[in-house]
Amino acid sequence: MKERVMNKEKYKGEYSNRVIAVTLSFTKYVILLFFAAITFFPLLWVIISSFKTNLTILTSALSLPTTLHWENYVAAIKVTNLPRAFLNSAIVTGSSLSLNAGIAFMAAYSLARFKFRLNLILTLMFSLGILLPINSAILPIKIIITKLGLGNSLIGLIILYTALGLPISILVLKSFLVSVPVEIEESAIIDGASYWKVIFKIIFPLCQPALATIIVLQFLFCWNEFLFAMLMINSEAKRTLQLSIGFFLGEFYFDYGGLFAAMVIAILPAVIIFILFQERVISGLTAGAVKQ
Amino acid sequence: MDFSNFFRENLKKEKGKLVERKREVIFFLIVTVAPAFILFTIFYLLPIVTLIVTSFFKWDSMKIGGFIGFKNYIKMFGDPIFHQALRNNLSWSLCATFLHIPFALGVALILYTRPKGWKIFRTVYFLPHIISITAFAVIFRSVFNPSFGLLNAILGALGIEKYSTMNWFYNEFWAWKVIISTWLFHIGLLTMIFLAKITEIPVELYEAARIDGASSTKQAWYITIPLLRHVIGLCSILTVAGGLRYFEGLYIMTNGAPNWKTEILALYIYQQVTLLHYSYANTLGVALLVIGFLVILMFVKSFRIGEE
Repeated sequence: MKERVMNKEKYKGEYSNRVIAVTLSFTKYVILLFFAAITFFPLLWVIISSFKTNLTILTSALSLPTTLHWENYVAAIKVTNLPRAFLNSAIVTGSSLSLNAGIAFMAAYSLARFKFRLNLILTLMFSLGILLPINSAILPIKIIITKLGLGNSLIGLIILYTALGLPISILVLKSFLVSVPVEIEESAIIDGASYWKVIFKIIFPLCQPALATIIVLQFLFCWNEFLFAMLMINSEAKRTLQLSIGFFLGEFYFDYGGLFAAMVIAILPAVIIFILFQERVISGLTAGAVKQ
Repeated sequence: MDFSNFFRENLKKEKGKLVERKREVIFFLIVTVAPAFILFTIFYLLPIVTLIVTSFFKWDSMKIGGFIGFKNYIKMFGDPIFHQALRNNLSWSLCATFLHIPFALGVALILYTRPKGWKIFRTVYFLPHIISITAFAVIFRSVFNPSFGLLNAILGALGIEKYSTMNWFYNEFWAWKVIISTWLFHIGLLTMIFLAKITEIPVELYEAARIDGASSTKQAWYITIPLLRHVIGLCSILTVAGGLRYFEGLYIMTNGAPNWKTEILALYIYQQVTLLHYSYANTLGVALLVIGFLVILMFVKSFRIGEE
């Protein structure tokens, strides 16, 4: 009898433990789902609405489309110059990405390997450059670009983006290079190899993880930048993708279906690239942020 | 790790080649560092120096005028719009440190237990860092639209009639709160930073705590969070500095309306530039720069970043 009571009590205890465990994991999922929904629901709504007619968007915002209205997408491509904008953004991003990686790699190598007077000052300046809000100086930067004869040109934008991305790229590469043992280079130099050969043939391939990080950072920066693009570019043919997104609201004044379709087209490529290279992108961005 | 010493020692051995080698090193240094140095000088140092110098001059159209001392600064400290922008920047920073970061940390602690589907959650949380702020701003313009917006449709469906016709961005009470809500729940990057750091904490610490009978909540509170002090400080700098840079979202969503209630410094500088108030825009720029510097300094000091 006594034993049975004890068993019962033991069972009760286990039962309440299980209740706690279930509630805990339930709360966990509620929290996770809340944050996911708040991010995802607006995006889903845009995708669904992009297949609806203007009338159904205006009268029943939460309804699903009865038939898929692809004509919104046709309208979106007709009204905006999206292919051109994609091309411009690809040119700017690609060029500034490669320039940035090359210049940052050379500088980071010398800063990591040689002691010279400017070394500490440069490193300190780059660290500040990352965090200080450089958009406080939009006017001087615009004037400098114009004075250099690079106003309203993609080349100006490429050079500016390359420069603005340099501090973070240099610091990420430098902190990686410091962890690469110098013995490899020493033996190559004793064998009579020139520095150029050493850094481009031996060290550059070794830096792949850090290069991946700076490429992710620089890609997202160039692809998504808006303020400086708006300051520099005045002609419609030279608009980058973000600039044309900025003009969507004006262009689709009453055509909401077209607006949503254009948004889907504009967002989709970046999202697809992200989902394909997810691990790389997440670890790259995380590493880049911590290095600051 | 530095190989200057290596050169010094090796060069001693072959003295004949010393001069030649030294020249080679100097040439190498100049060629590798110069491009970065020149670009940094043109696009960081020169603009900042110009910014500070021109803030002391009269400069209202294309031509720069005479020296006016601190006149612009006196004007700035009496400018109610500047005050409003400062207040908004401050409330942004407070929300970032006391809401945004705890959210991210909490979600990271949950994801650390690897619940089912955690990778899908991670992907969704990360989307706002892939899709541009510009695109999100256009989307939020639609979400908060009074006539066909998602929010009002949901409120209407829930029967909350009082708010279901609200014009959120043009309501003086709600506008700024709505703006804050557009980024407050986008926690992906910070969550991943926290998660990476939590994973680095040695498992032995938790095992010892478990043997002593500490619950998992207690373990998080007494082990994980204290060990994350540095990274919490770092994330605070990131979000607050990001807030000081934030521009395009506000430019597209409200452009400071209604009645300057959603003005922030970065936006105000741009508006002054478009009004051709050049030297005043630069004065505001100096203010933003100084604030950015102070914020970094404050967080580095208070979280003792860089010390072990």
